[in-house]
Order: sequence, then C-alpha cells, then structure tokens
Amino acid sequence: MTTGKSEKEQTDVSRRRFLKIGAGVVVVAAAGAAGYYYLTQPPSGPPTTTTTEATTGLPPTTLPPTTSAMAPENIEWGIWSWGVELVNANAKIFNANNPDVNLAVTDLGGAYTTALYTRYQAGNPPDIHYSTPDVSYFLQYKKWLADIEDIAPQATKYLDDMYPGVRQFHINPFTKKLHGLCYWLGPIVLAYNASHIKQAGFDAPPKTYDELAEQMLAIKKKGITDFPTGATWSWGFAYLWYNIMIGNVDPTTTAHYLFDENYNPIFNDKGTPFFDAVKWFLDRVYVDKTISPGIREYDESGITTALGSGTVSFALAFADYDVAAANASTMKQTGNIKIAMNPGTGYATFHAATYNISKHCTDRGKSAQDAVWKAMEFAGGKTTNAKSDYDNGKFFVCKKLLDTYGVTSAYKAVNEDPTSIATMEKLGMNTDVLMQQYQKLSSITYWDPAQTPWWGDWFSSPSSEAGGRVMPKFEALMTKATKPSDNDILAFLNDIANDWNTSKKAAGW
Amino acid sequence: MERRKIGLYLGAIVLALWVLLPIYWMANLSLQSEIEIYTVPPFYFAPHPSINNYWFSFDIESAVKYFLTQGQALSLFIPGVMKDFPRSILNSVIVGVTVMIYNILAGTLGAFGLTRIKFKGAMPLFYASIAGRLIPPVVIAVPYYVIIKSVGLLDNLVAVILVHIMFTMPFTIWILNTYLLTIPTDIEDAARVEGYSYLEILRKVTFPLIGPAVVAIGITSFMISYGEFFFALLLTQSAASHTMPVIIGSAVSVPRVTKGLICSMGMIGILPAIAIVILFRRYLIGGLVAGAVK
Amino acid sequence: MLALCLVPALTPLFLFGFYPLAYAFYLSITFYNLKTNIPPHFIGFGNYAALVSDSAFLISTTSTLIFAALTIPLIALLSLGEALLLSNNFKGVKALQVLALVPWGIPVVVSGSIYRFIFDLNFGVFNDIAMKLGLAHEYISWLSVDWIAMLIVALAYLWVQTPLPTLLLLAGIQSIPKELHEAASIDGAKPLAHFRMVTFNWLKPVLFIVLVYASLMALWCFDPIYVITMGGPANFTKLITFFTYERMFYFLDFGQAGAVTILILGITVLLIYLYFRALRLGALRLRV
Repeated sequence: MTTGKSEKEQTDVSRRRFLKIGAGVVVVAAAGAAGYYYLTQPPSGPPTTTTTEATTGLPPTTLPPTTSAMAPENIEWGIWSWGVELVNANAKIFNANNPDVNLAVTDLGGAYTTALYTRYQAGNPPDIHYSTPDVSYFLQYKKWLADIEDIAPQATKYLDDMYPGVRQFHINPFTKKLHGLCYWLGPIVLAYNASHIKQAGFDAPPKTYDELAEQMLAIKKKGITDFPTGATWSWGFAYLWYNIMIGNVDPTTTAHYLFDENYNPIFNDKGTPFFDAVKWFLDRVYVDKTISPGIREYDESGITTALGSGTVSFALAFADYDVAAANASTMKQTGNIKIAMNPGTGYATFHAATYNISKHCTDRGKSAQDAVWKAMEFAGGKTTNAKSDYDNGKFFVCKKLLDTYGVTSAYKAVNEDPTSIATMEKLGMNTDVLMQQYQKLSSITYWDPAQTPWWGDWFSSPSSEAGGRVMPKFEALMTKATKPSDNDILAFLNDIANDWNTSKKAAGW
Repeated sequence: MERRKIGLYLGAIVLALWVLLPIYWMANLSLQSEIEIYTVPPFYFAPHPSINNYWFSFDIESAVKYFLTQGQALSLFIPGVMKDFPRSILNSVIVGVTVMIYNILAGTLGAFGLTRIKFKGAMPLFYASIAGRLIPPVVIAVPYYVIIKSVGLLDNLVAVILVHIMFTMPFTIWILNTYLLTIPTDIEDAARVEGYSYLEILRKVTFPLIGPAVVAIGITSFMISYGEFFFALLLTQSAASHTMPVIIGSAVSVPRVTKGLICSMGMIGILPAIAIVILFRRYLIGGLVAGAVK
Repeated sequence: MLALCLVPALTPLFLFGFYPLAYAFYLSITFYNLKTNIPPHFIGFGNYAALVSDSAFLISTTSTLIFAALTIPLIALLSLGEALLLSNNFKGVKALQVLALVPWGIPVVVSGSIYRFIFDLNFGVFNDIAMKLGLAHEYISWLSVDWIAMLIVALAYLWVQTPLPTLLLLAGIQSIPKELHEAASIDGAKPLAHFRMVTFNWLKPVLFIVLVYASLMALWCFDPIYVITMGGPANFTKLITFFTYERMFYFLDFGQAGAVTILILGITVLLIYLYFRALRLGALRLRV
C-alpha cells in the first residue's frame, strides 16, 4: 500500500479522472457517430474495395471482353459442407463434358446462410447455389434471385416430373414463376416402432391423431416406454404443427391455416386448426403424460438415436432419411422403425432444398445464362453425359444422391426407379408407405400465404437452432405447473399474433 | 491437528474429482464407438476402447466412409465443419503464439513507456488502456466485423489475431505496469545519467528484472486467445482460418451431432493449453503475485 | 522512443476498441434491419423502445441478473475456498495446484459440450446415476427445466472460470507477511478471528478484483449458452450477450443489436463505478 495522499483525496482524484475519461469517451463517440451518420449513406452493404470480377456492376448489354471466343464461361457453384466429395466428383464430370463452361465449386462453410447473405450484401454472390426455403424466400424478396423460368422457359417442363403436392414449392411467390430445380426433397413423416405398438396390442399405425393418442397411452400403460413420443424439435418445430393441422384439416380444402391472404393472423381463436393442435399436444403433456416437456431437448440426432435405441415409440416431425439412421444395423431397434402416413387426412409437409441462380450471374449476359442453365440442368434436371437431354436423359445428380446417401428427390422418376427402391429398402425405409406419402404432400408450410422474411424469426428458424418467438413461448406453455386452460391457450395465441403484427409493422408490410 | 489434516485431504479429493471427472467422461466417450455411446444405460468404462475416433478426427472423410460401410446413415450426422479440425488446431496455436509474442513485446514497451518515461498524459492513457478491457466484446462485434470485411481481412487469421490482441493487452499492460512500479529505478536512473538510451536501458536493465511477470502475461494471453470462441466464430468462415473452439462449438450446436468425434477432438484440443499450464505453473503464480497483488 | 513504446501497445486498443464503440452507438440510433426493404435511417430511441416492449428482451435481462447473482458469489466462495485449501502445505499440494489450474486451459465450448453430454436426456450419465441413487424414477430432461438448465450452464462456466481467481487469491495468500500471522497468534486469536483479521483483510483488494472480474464475465457470458442450450427452455438461459448475437445474426436487426450493446456497455460502466464507490479503494489498484 502506498502513502502520500489521503484515501479520500485519492478516491476523489481517481473519480474525477474516471469521469473525465468517461466524458472524453462519450464526446469522441458522439462525434464519431455524427460523423459516421452523415458520411455513410444508407449502405446497401459495407464499402467494398475493388474486387476481382471486372464484370461487377456492368450493365447487361456490355459483354465481358472476349479475348477468345473459346474462353469457357466461369460459373461458381456455392455449396454447404455436406456431401462435398460427391459434389466435386459431379463437377468434374460436368466440366469434362462441357468444355465451354468452367464449373467451380465453393464450399461456403458451416454458417452457410450467414456466409451466403454476406456475399450477396457485398455484391458478389455465387452464380448458382443451394437454398433452403427461408433462404430462397429472403433472396427473392430482396430481388437478388433470378427465376430459372426467365432464362430457360423450358425448365417448367420439370414441374410435371415432380409430385403434384410439391410443385407449388418451386414457384417464386412474388413473380409466380419457377425459380429453381430440386436439390432434394423428402416428406416429414410420423415414424413409429412397429414392435412396440404390437406389444401394446395394435396391428397398424394410427389412422387419426386421436388414435395416435390412444396408442401412446396404451404403450405407456404397458410400461414399454415412459414417454412414448418425441419429435425433431429443433428445425422440425414448424413442420410439427403444420403436420398436425393438415392431418386434421384437409389442405386441398383450404389454403390458409395461420394467416389470410393479407398476412393477418387468423389462428388466434378457439376452434382454429392451430388452437386444436396446441390443445391436442398439451393434453398429451398434462393429462396423458405421454409427451414429456423434455421433448424440446430432442435435436435430430437425439430423436433418431432415441428411436433407434427404443426409448421412444413414436417420432413426430421426423425426416424420412432419419428412418434409415434409426434402423441402422447397429441400433437396438433395427428393423422395427417404420414410416406411417400422417394420421388423419394423410397429407404431410416436406423438407426441401433447391438450386437457385443469382441475378448477379444472369446480368452478365446470354453466355452466362446459358452456362448456368447447363449447370442447373445437370444438377437438378435430366442429362445424358452431363448435357441437356429432357426426353431421354436421366436425373444424374439426383439419382447419385439417392444411391450414395439415400437422400430422396422431388422427381417421381428418381424415387420410383427400381434400383432406388432397392436402395431405400436396404437402408431400412418401408418404401411402400413412403411412396404413398409422396403422393400426398402439401406445400402449405411455405405457402400460408407465404414465408415472409421474418417468418423464421417469428415461428422458429428452419435452418438453424436460434431464432424464433413461438418456440420459446410454447415451451413456457408446456412447462407450467398446471394444465393450461383454453383461455391460457388463447392468451398464448394472441400473444404470438401480436408478435407477428409487430414484426409486420416494423418491416413496413 | 488430525481433524484439520483429514479436512484438507477431503477437500483435496473433492477438488481433484471436480477437475478430473468431466475430463474422464470426455476421454471415456472418445474411446467408444457411436453405437456404444448411444446405449442405455451408458457405459462407465469403454467396453472396447478404440482410438478410431482419434484417427477420424484427423481424417473425416474416412469417418464418413466408415459409417457408410456400416450401413449407418449416421454418416449424415457428421457436420461438414469437422473436416477442418486438424488445420484448426494449427490455426489456434498460430494465433495464440502470435498474440503471446505481441503481448510480450508491445506490452513491455508500453508499460515501460508509461512508467519510466515521464511525460504528460501518462495517467489518462493508462486508464484508457485499462478501460479497453471493460468494453463488452459484444459491443464491438458488429462494428469490428464491418471494419474487417471492408478491409478484406474476413476469413483471415490476422483479423482474429488483432481482436485477441485487443482483449489481452489491457491485462498485460496492467500487470506489467504494477510490476514495474515496484521495482526501484536506481539502476535505470544511473544508466540514464550515463547517457544510455531508453531502448538500451529497457533491453539490458529492465527486461531481465521483470522476467516472471512477462512469462505470466505471455501465458495468460495465450490461454485467453486459445479458448476464445465468439470472435473466432464471427470472423472465420473456412478451413483457412477456423480456430479449434469454433470447430468444436459448431459441431456441438447443430441438429446432428457425433458425440464420439467431438469428445476425441476435445481431448486433442485441450492438450496444448494443459501442457502449458503444467510446464509453467511456477511462473504463473510468481508473476501474478508481484503483478496483481502488490 | 516514446512513440515506439506506446504505439504498438495502444493502437489496437484505440482502433479496435474505441472506434467500434462509436459505430455501435450509431447502430443503436439507426433502424437497420436487413430483412426489410426499408433502408437504414435515423430513429432516435426507436430501437430502445422496441426492445423494452419485447418480452424476449425483458426475460433476457432478468436471466442475466439471475445468472450474475448466482455466479458472482459462487466464484468468490469457490475460489477463496480453493485458494485456502491450496495454500496449505500437505503432501501432493503442488500437484493439486497444477490440477486446479487445468480447467483454465480448456475452452469453455469444450467444457460446455462435456456437460451437455453428461446431462443428456437418454444417454447422459447423470440420469443414470440419478436413477440408481433413487433421485428420479424416470429419465428427466434436466436441460428442459429452466432453473436446472441455468445451473448446468453455470456449472460449465464456473468449471473454467474459477482457476484464475483461485490463482490470484492463492498468490495473495502466499504474499501475506509472516509477521502479521505471528502478531495474531501472539494476541491469541482464534482461527476464525485470525482468518478474518489477517487473511481476509489482506485479501480484500484481491477479492475486489475477483468480484469485478466475475461480474464482467457473468455479464458477457456467451460460449456455454451456444453449446448447451442455445437460449434454453423458454428463453430462460438466453443471457443478454446471446440475445444480442441472435438479434444480429438471425434476426438480422443490427439496429436493435446495437441498442442492446450500448445498454450492456452502460451497465458495465455503471457496475465499475459502483464497485469503486462501494469499496472506496479508488486509486489504490490503478495508481501509476
């Protein structure tokens, strides 16, 4: 301890100095802020130093300098970090057969969405890239995506190759045109343990949601599992609710479950499909005790391994390909896990990803447009030797995905090919029911009336873990001490309707 | 004093368990295959310990192939970011060492300048540098991101190094400052009178005297940098610049996780830091005694 | 020479510390939401108003306060206890000192991962032990009970954070001059009074530093949330830093994120000021 000034003087001195420093910082901050505000225009993105492409910002009429007409058109393919080896192999095949195009693959990494948005903001997005539905919607809203129908009208023929219920999904809600071809697409199913339900005395999976409740209760009473039902809570949350809603109310009879055509909430009333779905779920939690509040802990690997090890008997909002994982030869319940048609009407939602093209690419001119269409048709369409062949070609990449990883497609020809069926059977998926479910899919999750940019922030993000207001609020509803009454449910619905309206207003809709 | 001795040993055991049990569990899981991990009830000892996971940590493609041949579609459960793991350890070490060296050099210079060279404004500058540590990291997250992006340093280790320096410098300057103040300046004053320049004084006289503190802050800055997650996550996007915490943090927080691989990666990842703690324990206590506590 | 000394040390601080502060301030008064087509524009206190009327923000602040109230005393007590234990001379104490420091070298994300696996619903060892000990008759999802989730996050956080305060306190204890101990013994002080008069008094400055450090770390806690709960059951473990991160990178609402960060900054400054005021130690630790 040092001597010298008295303690009080010391504190006064330091306090004064402290405040002086603080004031100085505030002044600097304010000056900096003011300067910043006036100097920075509302940026469309942070100031970009001159980047590589000389074609950035050139109007469409100016063609890139052609030193030689033979120079291949460069197309950049943005992917996320899954199945990278296969993508690279496919790109090699494409380049070998298409010398006029140079397809280069860029792995945008684990934080795909962030990386992609960053590149769009900076003005140099990939030419063709994957999109999950929230991504494609957002990019369409920002008018950064080009519809494939605009640069290749013949692409619409592929809609006929798809199952009826998924066609709408591939249409841009703003322009009503086909925006991209399918990368993958698979139903969100109800998975169940056939052995468990047999032990409980049932021969067949439930046909309605009431029957499902019955079977769950019987299994619990027999002591087969403590909490028979789980779900993919993380990214499957929205699908969970839509599956229940369209299971109870036929989606071919109504186009609106949560919102009307003007994006106003219509669910916050007693007797609406959402109300009934919430009530059904909460009854299982509080009355039957067949669903535990801990269901929220299940992420995709959690529910898959739970199903595979036999700690749950049913899985809601389950991805079709996860059935293969749950049925793996090394799982305890191997061979017992089966896909069931969504109870009730039989209609189900689906998860999907598409290939999309950035306007930045199409603005480069006809040569770029032709090249990127070639790339897209190779990736999501029919080709022979990596060249366009609608009449006799094969869905080369889609088929390879299925053969290698068991990942299914929107195209009938791909899924229903006998070798595909054999692959899926070998992986443990009961394809008869799966194919039936494909016939009864609905794009409603994405078209109710459409997913606005804040949709994921409001409900729950379909492509990440964080984000969402409905999910935490429902979790609060699910963990109360006593069963929520009908009015409590209504209060919850009104609360989230409020959140929706606030977001809508803030977004200027 | 028997009771006291028993109490001490009891406390020692509790402390040892507190530290070792989680590490043991991580090691346990890392030696099991996925099937064994997903067994109810869990195995307390790996039934067939194998170092497969460790091999896989360095070669994810072989892990994917292995899962595929097992017929498990669990290959889908391997987050793509895991393939960057080997490179990420290298990145973490590079960043950590660079931050450490910079802290040692710049910190010594800075503390020397603030304490030994008499000039007006030394105190406010000192306060300002301490204040740097009081800025919540999240405050500078977005602005820093924008700055780095506009300079083109996104996805570059330099960006990570710079922000880590920003975190560690205040602590360094503070420790070194306080340490320097306890050392009498007689020799230095004498040398100054004889005409030595400041630089020579620093090199020949001061630096050897503050050895323990310098080692302490060097190690501290390495540790802080090595385990930092938030900014590493923000600023890195690809294998070129991912650091080890980013790989593990990303691998755990996705819907599909592979527990065995994460645990083996964790075991490998904590080795450098633990090694440093064990080797330099004496310096840590010694350096901080004089630095922070006087 | 002076410039050579100061520039390398202080430039990173000013460039990357204070300059971004100004930008954060700018963001907080700007409407800057990437998910709309409305261009960024000045809205004064609009962001703050929107935050205050957002229940998620209010839950987040409450949770942060709870977390701080939980961890600050715990860190102080645990590290003091550990330091006292380690300051004794018994067989193996040197090894124990090293052991106590080991968690500090482990990144919080790794610690968080281990604890998440331990408390896993179906395959976690904790549930198994709980069943065997009779604490539970079925597997419980601990991470879905809000208080317990908070405790688990705190556990992962404390496991990594206690070694450093322990180290500081240990160094402090070891620097107590022998004369003080002897004087107290001569006066015949009982162990508890001895501790109070000598050890605790001497350690007050260090404890002060530990408290300040623990408060700041609790306020800024991010890593364990990201790997364990991602905000937890019903947003209960969504501490303020994670909330900000979510606003920034998922909601893409930079304006609101900026407003929250300025609020955090304000609280930090306030905390520091209050601490110094309360202990009246003012210039003692910051003297040049």
